[in-house]
Amino acid sequence: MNDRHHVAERWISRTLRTGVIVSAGLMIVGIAVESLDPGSSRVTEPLAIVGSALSGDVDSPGLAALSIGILTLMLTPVIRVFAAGVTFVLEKDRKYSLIAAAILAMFVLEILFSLN
Amino acid sequence: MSPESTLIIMLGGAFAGVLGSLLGLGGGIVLIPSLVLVLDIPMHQAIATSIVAVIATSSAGAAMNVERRTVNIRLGMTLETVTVLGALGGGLTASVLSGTALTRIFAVLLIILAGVMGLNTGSRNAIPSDESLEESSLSGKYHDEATGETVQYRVRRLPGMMAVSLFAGNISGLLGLGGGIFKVPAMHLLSGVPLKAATATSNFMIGVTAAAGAFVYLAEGHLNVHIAAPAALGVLGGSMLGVRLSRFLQATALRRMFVVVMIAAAIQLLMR
Repeated sequence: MNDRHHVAERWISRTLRTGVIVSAGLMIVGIAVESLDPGSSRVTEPLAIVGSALSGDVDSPGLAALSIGILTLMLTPVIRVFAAGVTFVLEKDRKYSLIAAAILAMFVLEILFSLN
Repeated sequence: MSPESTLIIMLGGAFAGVLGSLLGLGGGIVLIPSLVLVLDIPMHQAIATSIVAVIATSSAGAAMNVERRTVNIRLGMTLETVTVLGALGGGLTASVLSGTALTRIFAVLLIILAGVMGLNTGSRNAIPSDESLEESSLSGKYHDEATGETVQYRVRRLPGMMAVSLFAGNISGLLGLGGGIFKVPAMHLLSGVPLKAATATSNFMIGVTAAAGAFVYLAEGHLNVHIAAPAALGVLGGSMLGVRLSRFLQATALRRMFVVVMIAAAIQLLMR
């Protein structure tokens, strides 16, 4: 193991930890706000809630925070693959750069399919 | 959803997290039957909830294991190419199956896992350090804090390990479990990866595999924020507590008791 490997490990670890902390924080805030001030919306799907919030129709800020928290959590492993891919590119490790790119490509296709 | 229901789901998640952590399983195996049998949540929503919880616990655990250098990142990412495909296939299969069919498949798997747990006599030893091993891109090395030794290993039979990973990914997408119960023994016994590295590498892969399944459930509209968020927070907190409790508790008796509970839950699920 060399220093480059350790840098890669640090980045991957930081990415995962940050993702979990941010998403858990958003979900805690969302639950607290939703408990104190529940909106009238009956929508339960995160994409629909975030979509409404982005178009300015924020019925319940608590639900919006919950949804963004869940989506952040779901994206955390994908961002981790990206972080690992970047470190492989910097290490000039072609084989594992391609492996990371292949995993990311599958996710990009899947996320595009989900959004549609 | 009322604050009371949110609290109940969170406590249920915490219970699943503590128990899963003490038993060395993911939270999903406890969370899904609890959501379906106790809270009467539809099977597809319970699976989607479990997948989100699995991402949370895997990511938190992997952050720690990567820092401790017990994860074989290159091996994990090689196997992720097939676990992601498997999870996509599993998620898509689940989307065309009825809730009853999924419940029955889950119950059968629960009985099989109970049998495996019942027969499991304990952990196996890690392969001893061998300084003569040649370094390859998949070879690994870590410092074992328990023994004070540096453990080196080579990964063998990669194609076989990829086949097991594809199956584990499929189970993850289909039933919302991590799949570590298949990957860890295979990585250790088939590929010669020491148990500590196998467990850490499997946990590292679970987040990406579960995320692949989660996006299918999201697209199908089975992900309910009111259930998934408190359950994920509960499982995350519970599994962290479970890790601390495991230092003081002997898991053997708990494992035996849990085998009985798993079989009872499976029978109840089959009778629904």
